[in-house]
Amino acid sequence: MVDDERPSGPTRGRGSWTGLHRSGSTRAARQSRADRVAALWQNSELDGVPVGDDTDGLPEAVPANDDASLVSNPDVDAGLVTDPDAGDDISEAIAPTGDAGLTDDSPGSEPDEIPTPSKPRIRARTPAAERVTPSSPVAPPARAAVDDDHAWLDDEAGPVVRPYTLTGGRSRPVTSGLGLLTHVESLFAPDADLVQLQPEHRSILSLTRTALSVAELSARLDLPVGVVRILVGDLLQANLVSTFEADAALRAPDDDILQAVIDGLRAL
Amino acid sequence: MDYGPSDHQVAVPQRRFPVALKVLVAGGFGVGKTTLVSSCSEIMPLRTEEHITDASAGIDDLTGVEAKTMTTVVMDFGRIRITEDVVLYLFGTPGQDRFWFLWDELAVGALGAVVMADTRRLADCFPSVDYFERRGTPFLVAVNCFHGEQRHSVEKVRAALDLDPGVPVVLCDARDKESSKHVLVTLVQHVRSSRRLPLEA
Repeated sequence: MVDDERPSGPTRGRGSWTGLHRSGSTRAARQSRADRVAALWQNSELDGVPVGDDTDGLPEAVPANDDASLVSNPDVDAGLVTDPDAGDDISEAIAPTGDAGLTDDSPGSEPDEIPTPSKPRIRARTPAAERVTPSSPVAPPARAAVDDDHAWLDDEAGPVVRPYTLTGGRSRPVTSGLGLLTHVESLFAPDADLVQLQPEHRSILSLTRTALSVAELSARLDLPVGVVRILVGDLLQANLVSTFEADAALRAPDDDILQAVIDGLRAL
Repeated sequence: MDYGPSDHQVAVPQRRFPVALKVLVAGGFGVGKTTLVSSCSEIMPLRTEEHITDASAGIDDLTGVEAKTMTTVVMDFGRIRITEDVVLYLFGTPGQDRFWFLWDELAVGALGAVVMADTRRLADCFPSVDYFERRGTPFLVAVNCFHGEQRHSVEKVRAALDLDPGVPVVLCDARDKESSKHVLVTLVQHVRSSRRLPLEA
């Protein structure tokens, strides 16, 4: 994978960070845009973001595009903001585009007007790609607007950078095979030299006194899954935890289990 | 099935280990995935960070941001403890098309999937339906009736989505626990019956 070819060490994490920050931008430039677009951004009026603005440091060759390209700004932003709420906020902005492009289905339309089956589904991916591609030149302004709203100074600031300082810049676990539902259980190891461990390692050890899935560890520790995999990998290597597959992928649940699930759900 | 030696030791089960069942909740933005997961389980946000790979090249504009190779994705994660030994995990899939490459890990070993649909924006669920059809993952379509509004009949939705006859379509109110439970129960029943069919054939 990509990261194996990349330099290891803390730069790995910082690389991601600066990338997200659009390293081409100067602080001053971003600041000046902030003044102009902050209000627009907060009102979610993405179409109002001044696209001709080139203070983001992009090459001059990148032209301001027409408004057709603006519609996909939300798409591009959605991933960079890394904020589920933000994703929800812009969903309204995306939906009409998708509808128009995919089905020509107006909000009030009857199902009869829903286009013939299968065709639109096949077409579904194509308009999406077309929708996004022309936006490339205009994506940076809105992205910078997010920066300027100090999105990186709130809760989202830590998660991007800090996890890879926890792992010493590593982005791959020393072991493989840790799925989301792989269960981790700490082993009794009285002689272990716990002093060497990071606090997060110790947190994992204490959380996994009863077996816990990687996904749940990640959610409880509020660390990205990839980081938890690396930390668990360290503990595996040190023989401080064991793992086992609870994932039904390895043993398809039989009818008894399915019936138990049905009964259990009904009894909730 | 035989497994070769892996590069970390996997504890041999000496006692009863929990069975983890994975159910995916998919659908477009704002269709009610989070609501469904939270109405029937304890819910936690789950963060994963993924490499921008070929899967998203051409979607993500990497011009000028070559250093950015990771993106953070947040998804909903719910857990329902059925019995001491059986735990049902709900994963709300990332809504953005561009994070599809995440789905493959989610979808491996998934018991089944709930595709949530909003009849006002039915096209939003096409990709999810396609995805699970292609993978052969059992799924049902849950039409979220916002504010109890039932704009279209189940038959019309089924026709519009060109679903196989066996795929259940249920109407639900994702805010309502009973309704969400009904969706999950219907899904598990569907999984069970779709397993039996190949044996009988």
